[in-house]
Amino acid sequence: MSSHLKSSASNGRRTVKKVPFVELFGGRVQGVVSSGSDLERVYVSFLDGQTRDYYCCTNNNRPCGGLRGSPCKHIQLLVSEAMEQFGSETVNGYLGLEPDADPFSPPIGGEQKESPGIVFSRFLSYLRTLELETARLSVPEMDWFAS
Amino acid sequence: MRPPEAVQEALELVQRFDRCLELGFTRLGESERASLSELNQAFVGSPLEQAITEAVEAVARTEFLPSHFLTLAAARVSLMGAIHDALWQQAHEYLGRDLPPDPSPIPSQPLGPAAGLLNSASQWLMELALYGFYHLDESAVAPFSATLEPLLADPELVGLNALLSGFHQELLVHMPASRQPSLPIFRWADLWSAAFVATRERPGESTFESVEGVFTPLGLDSKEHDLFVCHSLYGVFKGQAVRVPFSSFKVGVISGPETWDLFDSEVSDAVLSSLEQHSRLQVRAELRPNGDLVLTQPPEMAGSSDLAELTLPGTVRVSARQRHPVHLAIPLRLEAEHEFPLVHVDPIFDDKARKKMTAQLGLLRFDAGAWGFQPLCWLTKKDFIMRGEDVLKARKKLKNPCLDILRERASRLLRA
Repeated sequence: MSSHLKSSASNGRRTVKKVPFVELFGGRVQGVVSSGSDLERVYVSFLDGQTRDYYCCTNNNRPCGGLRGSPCKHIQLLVSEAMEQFGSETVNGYLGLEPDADPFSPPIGGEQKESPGIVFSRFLSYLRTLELETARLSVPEMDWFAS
Repeated sequence: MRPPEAVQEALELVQRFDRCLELGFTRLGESERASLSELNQAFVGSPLEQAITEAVEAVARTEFLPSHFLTLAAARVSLMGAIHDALWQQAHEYLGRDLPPDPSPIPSQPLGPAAGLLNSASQWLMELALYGFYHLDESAVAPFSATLEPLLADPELVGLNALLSGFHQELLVHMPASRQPSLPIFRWADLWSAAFVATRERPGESTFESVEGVFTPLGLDSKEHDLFVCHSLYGVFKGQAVRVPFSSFKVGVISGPETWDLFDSEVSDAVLSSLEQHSRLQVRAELRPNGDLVLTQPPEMAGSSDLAELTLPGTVRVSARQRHPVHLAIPLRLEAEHEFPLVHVDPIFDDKARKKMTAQLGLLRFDAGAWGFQPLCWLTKKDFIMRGEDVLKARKKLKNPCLDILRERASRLLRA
């Protein structure tokens, strides 16, 4: 009957230059990968756990040129950063794989064209979180989140 | 020091109630219904008796309304409040200290324009109770983001928002619940009931006194989840035990030492330097009845700290509404050998440090039916080690600060 959580693995630190946003959501590893050349352009990518399908396109819905019958570099980078942040066991577990599996080994699925809208909008929400007004006082409710 | 017998019994009653939340109110069996009757009995003769009787009868008729679940949440919060009060009293008797006067409750404000969102939040919390924690999956939890996001924008609801965002994120990480080896039911029931009660009020602003003087740090207590961080720098100010608070929203990639980027850099640097250098601080601040010492400008170094002879005064008390054992944080000085298990032990207090330790300063805590001691400072023959004194050094090693990069992104994408 503890009010505290037995400490689960805390997030690993990673640099967000190449992959500003990655999450495990809706059965997928999904997120946003920097373009490298253009700061206003990002690639929105995902790898689905159940179907092993994947996709990558720009935030204006232009398909990534690197998709040539297999997951592009952006998707690979996305998954590798997810593993940095959440741990490879957590990511593989979420995708329904063995803890030490390689998510890109066969059987991989196929290209699944989807609009980047939802993931991109989740990325914007995430960025907006950092603009929320800071409380100046103690927040006693946080006593439940002690380390 | 073992908790009073009555505390143990009350905790068991709470755990039996929690079974209903675990299984789901749409799936209650004989044993769960019995625990609801038992809960009802416990409140006979109290102001909540009528409401609880109605709620328990309604639930038995499968009449599921948010108001009934609010009542059940309030019942659990009240039980934990009574447990808190008994422990609070026991701690003061043990320490031979007088009970400080209760702070007067701050009147709450009308819900205002957030009423709709708060109702949605209550609705979602009721749904969690109907499904049962054990039966939750992502589809029951994820859609709540649509209510949570606009709610987070209301700064007066920061307490509820920090709680809800943490609870929501934690549930998501455990989905589907039935596939987990075990579930933290007591904790989730804590979060559920605290959140439910908080959706029904907009907290008022507390009074404060403008003060200035010397603050002696004792050590840093840090709490965080993916979306929020709250550091409390415990210390002594004019003979009183106080907390200097630092609270902020954040995202998952920003954690630990890096979270100090979220605060005013002059203030962060001064505070973290004082911890590293073992110095006191000259502060200008707002002192609040709950023990918050809110800095109003960057503090200055004020000579070295001598903790060897420091006696810890009184207690830091949270507001009248925050009565749950999880909030107990009673400052205490102990010898090297003592009866309490150590809890929330920062890695800075390692075996090597233990060998040199002659006395310790920290906080008396209560969890899982037992008292524990959280060290803030370990004194050695001629010096001391303080929780948080290594943060400045850790920050200097950080490369590619996340916050700058993300804010750059935000400035291009959110205002394109």
